Amino acid sequence: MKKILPILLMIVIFSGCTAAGLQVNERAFVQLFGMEKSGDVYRVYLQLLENETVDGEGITILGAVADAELKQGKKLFLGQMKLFVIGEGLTNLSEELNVFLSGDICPACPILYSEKPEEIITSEIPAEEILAELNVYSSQGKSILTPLTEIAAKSAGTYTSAAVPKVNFSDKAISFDGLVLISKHGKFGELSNDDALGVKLLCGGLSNSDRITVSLNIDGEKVSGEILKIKAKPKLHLLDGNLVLSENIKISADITEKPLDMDEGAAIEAITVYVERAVYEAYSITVWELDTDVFGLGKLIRKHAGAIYDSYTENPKAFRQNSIIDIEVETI
Amino acid sequence: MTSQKKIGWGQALLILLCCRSFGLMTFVPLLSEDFAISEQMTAVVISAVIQLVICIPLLVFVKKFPLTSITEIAGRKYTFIGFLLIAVCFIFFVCETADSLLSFQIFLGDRFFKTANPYLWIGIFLIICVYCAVIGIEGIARSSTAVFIILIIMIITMGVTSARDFDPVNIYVTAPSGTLLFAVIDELAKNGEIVALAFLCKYIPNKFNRTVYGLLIGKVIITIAVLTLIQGVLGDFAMLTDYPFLAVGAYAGVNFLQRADAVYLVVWTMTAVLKTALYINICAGLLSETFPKLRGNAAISAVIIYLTALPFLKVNTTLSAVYGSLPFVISQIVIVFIAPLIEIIILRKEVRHEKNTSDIINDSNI
Repeated sequence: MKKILPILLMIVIFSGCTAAGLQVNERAFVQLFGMEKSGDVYRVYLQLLENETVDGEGITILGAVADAELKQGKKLFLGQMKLFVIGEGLTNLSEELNVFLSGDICPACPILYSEKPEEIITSEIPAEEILAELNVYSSQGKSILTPLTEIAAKSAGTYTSAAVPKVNFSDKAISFDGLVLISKHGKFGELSNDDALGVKLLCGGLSNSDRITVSLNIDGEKVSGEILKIKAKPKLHLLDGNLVLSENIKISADITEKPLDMDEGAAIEAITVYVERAVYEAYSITVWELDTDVFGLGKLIRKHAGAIYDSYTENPKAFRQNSIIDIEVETI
Repeated sequence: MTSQKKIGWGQALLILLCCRSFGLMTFVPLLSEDFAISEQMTAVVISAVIQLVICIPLLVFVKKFPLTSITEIAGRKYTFIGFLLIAVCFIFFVCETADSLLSFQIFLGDRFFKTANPYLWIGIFLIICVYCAVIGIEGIARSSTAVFIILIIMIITMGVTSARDFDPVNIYVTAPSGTLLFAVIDELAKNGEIVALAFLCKYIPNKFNRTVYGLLIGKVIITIAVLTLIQGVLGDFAMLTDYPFLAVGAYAGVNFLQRADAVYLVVWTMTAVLKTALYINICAGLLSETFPKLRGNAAISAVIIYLTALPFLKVNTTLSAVYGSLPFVISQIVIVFIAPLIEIIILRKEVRHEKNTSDIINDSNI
């Protein structure tokens, strides 16, 4: 009996799904998801496999998704989603994104911003191509990859925001046009592609595969180089009650073009100055001008200066406005 | 009484670490703005120290009465008290198993099988676990070795593949607050495996203390590793997600495996089977001590567990959510600390009394 029992058990267990299960051909695999809000109505735009698109609308996000499901005729599967595009009108982002945090979507799914998500979804450009283009921009320091987890966490905070790549569709091509800053209440600021390197450095989002091309004009002469390796290590301390963010950046660069009479060391020095300026600009715009925490200033305070963390959360503006950034760029 | 079935101290250690790891998979750290990861880690260490103290009488008991469980001695010597102790132990394991099953079902229902029939699913699961329990402790021990190796590979793989997303800034230390006590009690309640020690000891012929120390050290290491991974990779997002360990698993996919959470589910299911099978095996043993002529003890235990879980299944909650952590902690203290301590004291007095009596008889003969 002991020998027969496992066979009987296996027959029961491997006898297939119940009627409530779905076959693969009953599912629609979403590759690209776009979402925006107009008035009180949410609109979703979905790109499925083989570039099929469908849209839906509803008073709630789930209602809009259900509407798209009804039009499509199949159960939507969000687990293979490659990109998530958010649009205008989303004023309670942390709750709106919360709908997708139940595990349906991969937490590492990159988020993009577009003024017209519908154009991106219906552009007939596959999600893989858009993602590949984003990776190229990001590896060149012209954009960043912001996962769903980061924007969900930062938009949940009252004094934090996330930098998200802005995507455009024109002339049948996708391009990335800077970054937008997204907080709990939606979009509130923009940065250019040139600021993206500084943002990326301050956010610590650099990888070994990044190859940042720098092209400078020094006294009318062109100097070009490629940053092969870049490591940034932020630290925070207090000085006379003010926050001091110390950013120690180590770069390894190759000069690809320079004037004949220019020393290679001088050319590399120019690149280090460029990097320093990029970081300073990014910090200046986001922290001093737009008064927001994109780089995890709060997290750094919590780790390195925990004693003042409660004071910071009560009055973050005062701390940010009086903060100092100390950048040191070295070559390795 | 000498048990014919034997397992090594290392096998017992791996069984219990697998049981603990099951709890970690659906582990929801007490994370919030007021409750930092460092506090949770401190609670893990403190609870291990407390459990070490709780285990001291058991260690002494096993040294004095090897290859015997606390209920066997109590049942043999003191019928009513022994029956009471068996009843307490039985209820503990039934509740602990039902609670584990319910939390696993809630997790699966939330994330993977939203439309599956939970009553049918748990019933089939229990049938499998009854079969595993009937195979015996040696079978469970052998399986746990394989499952533990797979588990460690899984945790290492998660760590390696999510290494680039690991941000040390997310790991910060805060001063302990009033919530530390709550965290310690919560952590103690999750570590019911030490009660299983009081019954596995009858299968371990020697070096039982290594099982105890290894379990406490091993679960501290695994728990802190998992907490570090959760907080380091997810950061503040860990507070927003229902199942942070699963989120790390979904995050840490490699190129050919877009999402690794389904793979981890396999490991979690295996640890769930091991834990449930072990507890059913213990329950069956307790039934056979009370009713030696009863047959089908494992199946009867499974039915009782299922019936215990039913009302909670209906409202989609767990026993620990309804009754809190304290009953589980008190049960641990009663079974692992108080019962062996009382047995040691009473039996030592009896042995001393018998020795004194035999000395008096010998003297009078002289």
